[in-house]
Amino acid sequence: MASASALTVRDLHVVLRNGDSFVPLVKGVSFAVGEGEILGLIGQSGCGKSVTCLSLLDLLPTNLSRTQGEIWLQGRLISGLASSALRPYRGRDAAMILQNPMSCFNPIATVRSHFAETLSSHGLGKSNGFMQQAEESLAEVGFPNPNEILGLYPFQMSGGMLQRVMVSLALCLHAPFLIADEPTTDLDVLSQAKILDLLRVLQQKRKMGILLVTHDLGVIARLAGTVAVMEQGEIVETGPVNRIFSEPRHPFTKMLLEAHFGLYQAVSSLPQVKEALHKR
Amino acid sequence: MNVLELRTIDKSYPRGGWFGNRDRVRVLKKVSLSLGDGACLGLLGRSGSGKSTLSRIALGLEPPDSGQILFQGKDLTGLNRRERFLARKDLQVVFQNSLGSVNPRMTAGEVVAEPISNFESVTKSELRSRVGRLLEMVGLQASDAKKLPHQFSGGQLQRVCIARAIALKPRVVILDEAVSSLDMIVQAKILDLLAGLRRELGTSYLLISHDIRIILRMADSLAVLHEGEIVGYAEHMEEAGAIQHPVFNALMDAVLNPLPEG
Repeated sequence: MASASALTVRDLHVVLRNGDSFVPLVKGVSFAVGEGEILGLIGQSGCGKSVTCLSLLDLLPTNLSRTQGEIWLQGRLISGLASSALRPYRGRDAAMILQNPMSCFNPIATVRSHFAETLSSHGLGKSNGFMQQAEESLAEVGFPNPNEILGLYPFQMSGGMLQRVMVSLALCLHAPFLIADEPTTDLDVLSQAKILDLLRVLQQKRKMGILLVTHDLGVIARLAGTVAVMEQGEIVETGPVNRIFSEPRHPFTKMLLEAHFGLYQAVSSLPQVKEALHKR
Repeated sequence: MNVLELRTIDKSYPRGGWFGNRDRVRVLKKVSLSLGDGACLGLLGRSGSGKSTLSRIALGLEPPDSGQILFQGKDLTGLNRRERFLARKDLQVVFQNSLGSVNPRMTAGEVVAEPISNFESVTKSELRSRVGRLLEMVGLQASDAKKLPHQFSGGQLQRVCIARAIALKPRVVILDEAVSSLDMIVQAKILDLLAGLRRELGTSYLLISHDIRIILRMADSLAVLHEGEIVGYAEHMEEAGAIQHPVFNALMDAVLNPLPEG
């Protein structure tokens, strides 16, 4: 099983250390993402989605720790590795994009220096072609003028542009696996549509596996093939996206869907939306 | 009667150049809007369309270059300190960035209690129980009052901000992308809660969002803002279908499908 899947997580436990007491945040989570597959992880805020993501590459803040669990990335067991031994994996074997693009960039560094940092930390920064690689990566996410973008500072770009830069930074090392934690939550709907389409295209082109974390079932419906539903640190239901939407089994999944469809109740009263939804 | 009215608001900011010759960007161009008593007006626009500038001006946090802001019939810009202080009791706001809207060194309880002790004299125990009730209203627990902002998730902290905004039962609440980052269950709960307050107390809302799903769920009229101009308006939501503007259509086009494709 581990060989066919891009990422396999077994019985993952994460706790919060609060003085002498331990608060369990992730309680025995298991899932697998196949190569070229998109697994949507959905749940309420505070349910442990982001903590699960961060623990995969050992990026947890110091007061949290993984106490148990196996993590297989591309068939290799990485859960036993020390943080320093994991460094080469980050970005090269599994890339990550996060929710808030504004706080993920160094405000006083240009896009060029961000690329330089990423590439050089994987031993690629010194080669002559590295800026070319950066430009190709930016062109891939839809910038017609990558050379100009390289000279910009984060504050000179909109949230949607920054998020596309983040995607291109994350993917410039051609990682076969991507962890996308709420990649479109802070963006407006037009930028969101652009990023989602981009992820879809890249996933198909590169046969990339994606762990897509979101709280919006609309995003799941658009992209995911399989869905894992998380509630209070546990995965309560997993299944193909069509089955989850048509016949949810767990009460929590039903609650999510009810809230989701509730949001659309009034939408179909607008002819413009009705038309747009009908077209697809 | 209109509880909040904006009349031909103009606003521009300087751009670029640290010294001299800075050109100005016009972010709002002759914007007029009115919010009826007990009504909910949805303001739809892309990021960068001027929505948040408009909300800061409506709150009196920033002066417009020209134009008038009438709150309960009085011009906000002409008020003296005392009157402005009283107006704030009735005009509250919830911003999108919850972490940036609270003092990181105050507990959630202190955050919610602040407006109450600013405007009313209440005993400590009464204050504590009111804060507890408010936190429970937004789906948190009374015991969460002891927590600091960084101990909450984004969605939980946003609910603390909502509890603070409704603590004094204000006349108008400006919701600036206040629910867009919440998960769907909480979002539905908060929208129901806000609708309930509106029924009970007649609170009016200016609901600012880029997501038509949220606006349709709650608002009864709609204004579309694009590059600082109102490019579409519908007094009643049923008339929104008649709005014809490329940006409005693009925003409608981008609405996610409720069901998986294929």
